[in-house]
Amino acid sequence: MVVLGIESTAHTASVGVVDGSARVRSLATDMYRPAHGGIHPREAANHHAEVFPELVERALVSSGVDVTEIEAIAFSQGPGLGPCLRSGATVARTLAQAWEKPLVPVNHCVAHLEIARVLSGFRDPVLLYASGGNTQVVAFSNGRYRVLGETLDLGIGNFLDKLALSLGATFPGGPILEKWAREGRDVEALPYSVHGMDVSFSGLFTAARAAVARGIRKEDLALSVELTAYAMLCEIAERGLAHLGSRELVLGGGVACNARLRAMVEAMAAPRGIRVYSPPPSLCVDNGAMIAWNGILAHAGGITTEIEDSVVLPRQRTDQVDAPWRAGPSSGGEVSPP
Amino acid sequence: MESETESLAEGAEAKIHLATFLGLPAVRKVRLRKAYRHEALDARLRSERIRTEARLLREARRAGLRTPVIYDLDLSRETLTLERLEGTPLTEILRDPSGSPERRQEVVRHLGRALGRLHAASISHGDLTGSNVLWMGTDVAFLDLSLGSRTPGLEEFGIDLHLVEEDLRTLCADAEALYEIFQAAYSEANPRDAAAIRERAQEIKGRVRYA
Ligand SMILES: Nc1ncnc2c1ncn2[C@@H]1O[C@H](COP(=O)(O)OP(=O)(O)O)[C@@H](O)[C@H]1O
Ligand SMILES: [Mg+2]
Repeated sequence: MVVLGIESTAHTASVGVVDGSARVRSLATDMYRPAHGGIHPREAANHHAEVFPELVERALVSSGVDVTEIEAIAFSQGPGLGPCLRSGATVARTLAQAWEKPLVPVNHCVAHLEIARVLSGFRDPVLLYASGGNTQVVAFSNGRYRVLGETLDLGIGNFLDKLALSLGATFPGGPILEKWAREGRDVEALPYSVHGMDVSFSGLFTAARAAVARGIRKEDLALSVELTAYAMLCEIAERGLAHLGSRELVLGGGVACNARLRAMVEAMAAPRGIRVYSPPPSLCVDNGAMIAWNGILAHAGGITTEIEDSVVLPRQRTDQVDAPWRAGPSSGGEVSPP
Repeated sequence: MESETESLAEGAEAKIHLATFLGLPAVRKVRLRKAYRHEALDARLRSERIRTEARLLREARRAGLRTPVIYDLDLSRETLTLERLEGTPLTEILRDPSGSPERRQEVVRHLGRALGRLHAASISHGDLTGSNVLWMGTDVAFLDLSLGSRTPGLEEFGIDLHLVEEDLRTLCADAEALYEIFQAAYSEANPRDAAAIRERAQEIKGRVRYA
């Protein structure tokens, strides 16, 4: 079985073609980069609408797959930015009608978990999902995907971007901050905010801005912020793992590509005997391949939607997702690639 | 003075050893260094949290709640020696598929009542999951108050309720009914502020997950 997946929850437009053994046949991605400032949902959506036809073409051609071999079109239904989601859903509906294929809705967060799960071979991992808008610890428990912990205010990536922008960087600020942090020497004490399995970044943001006003070197600030914020992420992942007694952790999201965060996660996991899997960057950031793979699982589980019901759900909750592909009431079942 | 036997549990932050203290059954809670944290940050957190935990355990007890008695606090070795409570972590009771709904309801009713009293005494728990509450047969005991606050605002109180709701969803199929029972008991025990705190908990839950 081959499925074509469409991703457009935020700044990334992406089309992936994946087969039943989770082989990524092709992946075509284009990220919207605003000239200045943060992300503007409408401009991002316009960007996506513009690039999608070419991305579909590229993904199809380089996959070597014939349209007749495609079983279904999967799309990211939510959560995400409304205008961006709609531009992807529109493309998905068009393809589904033109090629007469079923349309399969996919939850973006669950897709991050499922692609990492199949690539790792882990049975029932916890996901640390760290991206621009999302910062969550997610696991399958009691028959559903659960958000064990999350940010109570800003997403980690948005927080880093905002901070970098205020220091004169351009979007996305995370990688620039990462570069500065490598030149950092002195670590400043900053607020560390963990509540149970949740985190918040607004106190850290305010304190970081105050440190800037006091004239801290931006390299030192970047290093201090990374060490503090990533330790918070490691701690909520650790708490989630301890809470469920799980020994498998996977990473997802753009911020999870960060080398320092990955190293810190390894340092958290090793003494607890926890195995960690980080997908390659192209499958760790937002991408159409994970939507296609989750589409394969969902379609095999009988999940499709009619065109008239295929509305996007910008605020879809992770625990609203039906997961017939995960057997058993309280723990994860086997992946069963059709 | 104190002799060590075996390790009882390894939580997210600490190792718990079975011990005795002046012949009494005790546990020694030793906070572990976290290699992933910058040394200065780690030292700061360990020191802050052990002090907070000791202080809040004591103050919650003074407010009439069930918590382990503190036998010894050794700041130099970051070790807290506590009364050993013979109870069952709520997690075990709530996720037990053979447990009866009535038992779960009784337990969350007591949890609601105890949390209401804790909040009415101006203490937030900060890490209110089922592993940090013991069922003692007739009542619940709070453990692990190291993320709590003595000067909590609506946000801290609301987070406590929010954590209970999330935890119930993670553990039980009848989470919704249980959370209702929990909230009713909570409101009865904390009549002055319950409405505002419940509202804040709802707001936290509905907060834009995608900002
Ligand atoms: N005083 C105590 N009496 C009995 N059991 C305890 C006591 N303190 C801790 N435990 C057990 O050890 C576990 C971990 O302790 P906790 O204080 O929550 O540490 P952590 O901060 O690592 O989570 C608890 O979930 C509980 O099962
Ligand atoms: Mg604990």
